[in-house]
Order: sequence, then structure tokens, then C-alpha cells
Amino acid sequence: MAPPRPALPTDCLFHVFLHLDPISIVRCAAVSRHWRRAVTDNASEIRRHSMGRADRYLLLGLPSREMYPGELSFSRRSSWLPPAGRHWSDFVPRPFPHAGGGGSGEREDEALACSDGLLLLCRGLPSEISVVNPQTGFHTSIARPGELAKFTRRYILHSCHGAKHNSFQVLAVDLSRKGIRSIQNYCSETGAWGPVLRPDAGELRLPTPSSDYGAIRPAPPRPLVCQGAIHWLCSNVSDHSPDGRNHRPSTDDEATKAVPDARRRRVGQENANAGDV
Amino acid sequence: MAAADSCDGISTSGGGWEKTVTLVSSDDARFEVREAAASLSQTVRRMIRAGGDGGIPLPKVDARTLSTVLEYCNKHAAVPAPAPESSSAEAAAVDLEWFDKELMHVDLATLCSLIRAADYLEVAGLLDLTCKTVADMIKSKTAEEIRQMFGIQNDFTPEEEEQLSRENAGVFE
Repeated sequence: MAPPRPALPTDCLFHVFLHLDPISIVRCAAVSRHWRRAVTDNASEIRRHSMGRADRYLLLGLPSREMYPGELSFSRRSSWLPPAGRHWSDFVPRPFPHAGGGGSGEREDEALACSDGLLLLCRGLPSEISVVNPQTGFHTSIARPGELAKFTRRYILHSCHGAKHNSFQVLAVDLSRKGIRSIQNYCSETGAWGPVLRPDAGELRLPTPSSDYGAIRPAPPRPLVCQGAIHWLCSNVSDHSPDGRNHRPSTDDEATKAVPDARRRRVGQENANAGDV
Repeated sequence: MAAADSCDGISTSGGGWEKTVTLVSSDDARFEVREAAASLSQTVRRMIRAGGDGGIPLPKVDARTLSTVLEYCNKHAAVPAPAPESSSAEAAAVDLEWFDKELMHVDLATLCSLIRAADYLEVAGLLDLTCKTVADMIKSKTAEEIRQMFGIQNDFTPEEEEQLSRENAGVFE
């Protein structure tokens, strides 16, 4: 009576995928051509409907990969191959488990920064962050900055329109109440993190947002990114008056080195009014 | 009323006057169903509106599958719109849940034909239920295990496999 084989047309598979986590969907895409088509044809809908449990960014770029296989030469090709007798889809990594409500810090699929179509993502893996372009399927993982990993509160992604596609820089910043404790820069051209730089934290102060708003934990001050230069508005406390007025703008040359070819970057000093901006 | 044309009769079963419609499966089995139940299928509902006589033909669904679908429809159509806070509504919901669970105790081939039928007949609740059941079976299985479940041949060429492997490694590493 019933057909000998359980078979599902593409439309029905799509409905099944809506109930699956992304890792299972990726495995489904490895089952056969028919199943792969059912995934890739509907990847954008599946992503949108996904219950959002696991790492939905795993599926980013799937359709583009299928549509333009030859043109994605800039997309990273790995030399990794599964061990003999095993299938690549057996090795889809488990996402880092949910911190479960009480956890602080990043959500596992959080977009940490974005710039010109590139997204910097925490994929829930403790040791790495990823830069993706959802439109083209470009995807690369970079290790988190070793020394700063624990303390880094903020990443700034900066896409460089240079000679190469998808070149970018990531600035990891360890911010404290008082100011910038340390910064480190990653450059996609060199594929490595630069040295950790510590601006003279004793003297520079980031304006602390006033607690008048009743905020329990005031947000760290946002940098101003302008024409390739990243600015923070600071005040120099060693420089005279405690009320923070009369401060001359100056340039912290040390910080400029952090971004070798990002034209220019300054940790400028500003007067206390910066806090109101 | 166009709907009246497609009604094969008025039955008194179930203690009330209820319109019924006749559905005809691909293997020519005829099912007389309350219109309220049959209307859970958007496809059937449209056909009722369009009118017609001699029963509604459903050439894509066989009798065995259709009877299960109708079992679902009858059960779900019988439950009145939820009146919250009443204990009877709660009991009905529990009962319905239990019924759904029991209905899903079938083999994969049957589940798949139910999915195809629910998709064709547009019974949203049943489609959701069956797909969720199949998804739970697929979950945490490897690609090879899924192939065995569904009796699928791996039709990727070794070259394609290698390329997929390399491409996806970039994503997953």
C-alpha cells in the first residue's frame, strides 16, 4: 500500500527543514543532490524561519555558493579533508552551549560589528570569531586575540577597499571605566594580530556617560569611525583642571601604529563636553 | 449557495444536522466527512466553494493515507474554539495532544505519505505535526544514517564530495 521507500519532494523537505537546527540542515544538504537542492533552494527562508537555537550563520552564503561556484575564488578554500572512512558532514562542530539566561557576555550568534556589508560574528566558539559577507558567501574565521580574549569588550570591524576583495581589519579594544586599557589590531592581509598596545591609561579618560539616566551599567562610549580613522573622545586628566575643561586636543601616536595601513587613527583628547555628545 | 451543490446529503449522525461532503481517494474509495472537518483542508475548502457533484476527487492521496488525514481532521474539527480558563478546554487540549502523539506512531514511509498528503491538501496543523516528527527523527543523525533511513543513494560524485568537503570546511572549521 504505502510506497516502499519513504520519499519526500523538495517542498515537503523544506517544511521538515523548518523544524531542524542548522547543523542537521547542513547534514541534510550532504545526503544527496535532491536533498542538497532542497536546502540550497530554500536557504534564505530556512534561515529566516529557523528556531534560532544553534548557529544559524552556518548557513550564510549557501545559496551564493551554489549559484556562483566559479566566481567565489576569494572565498576561503580549506585543505582540510575528513579522515578516511568518515564524511565531512560528521564533523560539523557543536556550537558552544547556551549560557542559559544567567550567562553574561555575547550571545552565540551575535553580530559584534559590521562594516560595509561585512559582519563580524561570534559563532559561539570560545576561541574564534568570524567575518562573513552574507551576500557573497565570503566567510573566514579568525582566532580571538589571545591575550585580550577574556577582557575584550568591543570589536570594531573596518573593511578596507583596497586591492583585494574582502580585506578588512578588526580592532579589539579592552575598555574599562577609566579608558582604553589595551588595543590590538587584526589585518586580513597579514592574517595575524598585531602587537598589544596600551595607551597611557593613567592619563586618558573616556567620558563616562552620566548616571543621570538611571542606567545600571552605562554603555561604553562609542568610537567615531570616520574615513578609516577611529576616534574616541577622551579627556586628559593629568592635564590640569579636575573639572575637565580647557583640554587641548592632541594625538596619541602610539595608537596610530595599531592600524598599519588604516590611514590614520587617533585617540584624540577632547574637553569634557564630549560626554554630552 | 454553491456549497450546497457539493453536499451529498444532510446527515443526522452526531446528534445534529451537519453538512457532509464526500471525498474520493486516488484508488476510488469514498469518504463521507463532515464539512467542518473537511474544511480543515484548504484545498478541499476551495473545491467545496467551487462546487461540483459526485464527490471531491483527490487523485494524489490514497485511501489509507486519506483515512488517517480525516481521522486527524475529525478529531481537530470536533474541538471547539478554545475557551481559556475552563478546565474542560484544558482537558480537551491535553486529549488532543495525546491524540496527535498516538497518530504519529507510524513508520517513516507512512509519515512521508502523510506529509505529502498534508502538503497537497493544505492541512496546516497536520503538516506541522508530521514534519516535526520527521525532523525529530533526522536530528542528530549523520548524512549516511539519513540516507539509510530514507533509502537514498549518495549520488554525489567523489569529486563533488571532495569539493563540498573543502568548501564547507571553510565554514565549519
